[in-house]
Amino acid sequence: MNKKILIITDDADDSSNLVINWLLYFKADFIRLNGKVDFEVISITIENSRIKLLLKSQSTIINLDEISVFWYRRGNISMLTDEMDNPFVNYCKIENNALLEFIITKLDEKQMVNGYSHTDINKCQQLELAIKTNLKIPNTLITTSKKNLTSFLDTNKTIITKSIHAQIPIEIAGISNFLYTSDFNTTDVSNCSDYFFPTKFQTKIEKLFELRIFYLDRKFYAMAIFSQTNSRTKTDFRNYDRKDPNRNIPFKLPKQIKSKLTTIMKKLKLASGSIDMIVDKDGEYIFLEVNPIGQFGMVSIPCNYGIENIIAKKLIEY
Amino acid sequence: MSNSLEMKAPFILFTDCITVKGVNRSTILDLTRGVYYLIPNDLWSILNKEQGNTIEEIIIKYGTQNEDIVLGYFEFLTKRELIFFNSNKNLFPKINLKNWDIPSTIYQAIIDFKENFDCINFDVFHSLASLGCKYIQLRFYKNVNINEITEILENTVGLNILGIDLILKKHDGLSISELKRINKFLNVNNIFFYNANELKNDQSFDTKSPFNIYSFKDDISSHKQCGNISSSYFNVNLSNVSNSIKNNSCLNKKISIDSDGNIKNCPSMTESFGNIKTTRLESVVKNEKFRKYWSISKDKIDVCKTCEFRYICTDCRAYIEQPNDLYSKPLKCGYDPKTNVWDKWSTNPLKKRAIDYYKLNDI
Ligand code: SF4
Ligand code: SF4
Repeated sequence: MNKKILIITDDADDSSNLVINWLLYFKADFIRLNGKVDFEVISITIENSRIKLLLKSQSTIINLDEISVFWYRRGNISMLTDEMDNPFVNYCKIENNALLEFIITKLDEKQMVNGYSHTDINKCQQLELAIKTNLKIPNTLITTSKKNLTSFLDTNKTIITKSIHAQIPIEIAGISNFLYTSDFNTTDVSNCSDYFFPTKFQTKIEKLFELRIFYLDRKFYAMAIFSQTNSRTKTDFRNYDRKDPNRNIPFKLPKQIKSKLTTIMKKLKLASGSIDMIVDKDGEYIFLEVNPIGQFGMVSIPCNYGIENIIAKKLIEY
Repeated sequence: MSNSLEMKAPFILFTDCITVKGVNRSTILDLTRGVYYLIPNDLWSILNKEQGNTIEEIIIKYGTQNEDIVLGYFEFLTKRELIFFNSNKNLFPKINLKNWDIPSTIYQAIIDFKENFDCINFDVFHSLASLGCKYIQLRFYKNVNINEITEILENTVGLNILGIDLILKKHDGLSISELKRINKFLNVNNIFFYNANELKNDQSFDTKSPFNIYSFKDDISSHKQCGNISSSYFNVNLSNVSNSIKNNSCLNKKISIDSDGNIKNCPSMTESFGNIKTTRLESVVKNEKFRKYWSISKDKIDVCKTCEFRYICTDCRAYIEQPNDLYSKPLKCGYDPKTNVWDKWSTNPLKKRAIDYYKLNDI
């Protein structure tokens, strides 16, 4: 039987577009679903030691038997539901959720690179896992109290603030803003009320360079980002300087760092992900976070790693 | 002694900056920032042999009588942010520039128009898109009106083509304001007007148009005007440099259709691989003979292989100094890597034979 690749992504996701260009070039058989994916169940047959799953979404029929590999990138998966207002609403919701859970389990059994589960891993938990693996992390305080914050600033001298977990834009007056990592100084502290919403603070690391590492099946594709010479990009390299862009160059991770990161990825049950680290002035490697769904294009293109091509071949040869 | 320099720390050239050695001088190509620097071959040697050493060590090695020169080099390298200091050179492997590859059988196309618009009837745009073609240049050698242009562009709608450039003759039957009708073709990137004068200050055109408009005075009567080599065409970026190291920087993954519908590597070539009326592009690209120019990289071309510009320069295989030698230098390059002088190619007596051969006297 003809085996297909199933991809769930966003139409604006550059990294998946790059891979899909290769799939087209290799004339691979694939189904691409974009954006919010609502599955409609045609039939699920569980009998005689076999399971058949027939689904429909965005007017495409998906026969699970025909899917050889599933790659999840972006978007939400849910069940197609009618707006109902009757005594059965809650009942139907539970029925649908059970179906969805089963469908996702079956799809994730065929996952490659990323599946739908494990795409959102708590960042506090990541930091905990890092220290247990003997990877250094920045001193971290999550607090609601100005008093705590003041003493944290006293010990750490220079600190930054960043979100505890969320990475969604905040819309103010029609303009989307991301809360990037930013410096937090004495004046900022004195402007705080005595108690505030739980906020994360970290000691500011004097960095030599940052590392953006794409991890895939125990291989590391690492890139060093030199942004220090330019004060505008010192704190968060995503505030790009268009005129004099940062230098993004290939980097070879030392063995012991690789093995620690492999441990973390295994414990998080991730086959792939994007890891952020910092190398400080003393040459120490400091773990920041891992994003299961990483934009590998931003590593692959400047370093000429050809990750898109590697992923496309993995999907085809699976 | 300079006090702004780090004298005692091992230096490393950022690996997105690569050095290219020429006969008399070299270049540093800054692939991230898109600029190149001309440097003496002495500095090329330092950059290729001394990385991982400190400036102090280099001064000792090259002798104190050369101290000022060495310091001058490092001041330049530091000022341009081309180097950094780190004691572990092995952490920073070179970018692999030898694995250039793209998911397209054909990446770029040139289509010339003169009397007929056959390519509309023979499904050329679909063929191009299915071969992975992303950029198309449409060159018109006659006066066309806006209806004719939009009729052609209609054929590209819905195809995965990223960029279309139009090369048009400016004439009374085509007003700038009419170009608004092209706005809806989102993949049109640039419009070049030849035979045009005061276009630059033309206020009648909406500046918010999705494409750029350029104009130049010269009249372009035919494809014979193609193939000029000039430093203004130099292109310093990773993808282009990596392609040039491995392939021909003009013809790799290019296909063309001349104004008579003949399928060629480029319209200026004499060799045709069939006419679109009878031959499909898909079958032409499989032909080994059609691909013979693709892998002629600058490293294989006479003279160019010793030129410090070889990986950022364009190439031309249609007009070459020795028409019978596939590997001879582009005819329309006036640069001599031995003297580092740019001359006018068309008046060079040594090129007269080739100029006659291609009948380029009258252009
Ligand atoms: S080979 Fe020469 S004439 Fe042909 S497209 Fe290239 S530069 Fe132009
Ligand atoms: S010699 Fe070759 S590489 Fe150098 S400028 Fe001329 S055409 Fe370009």
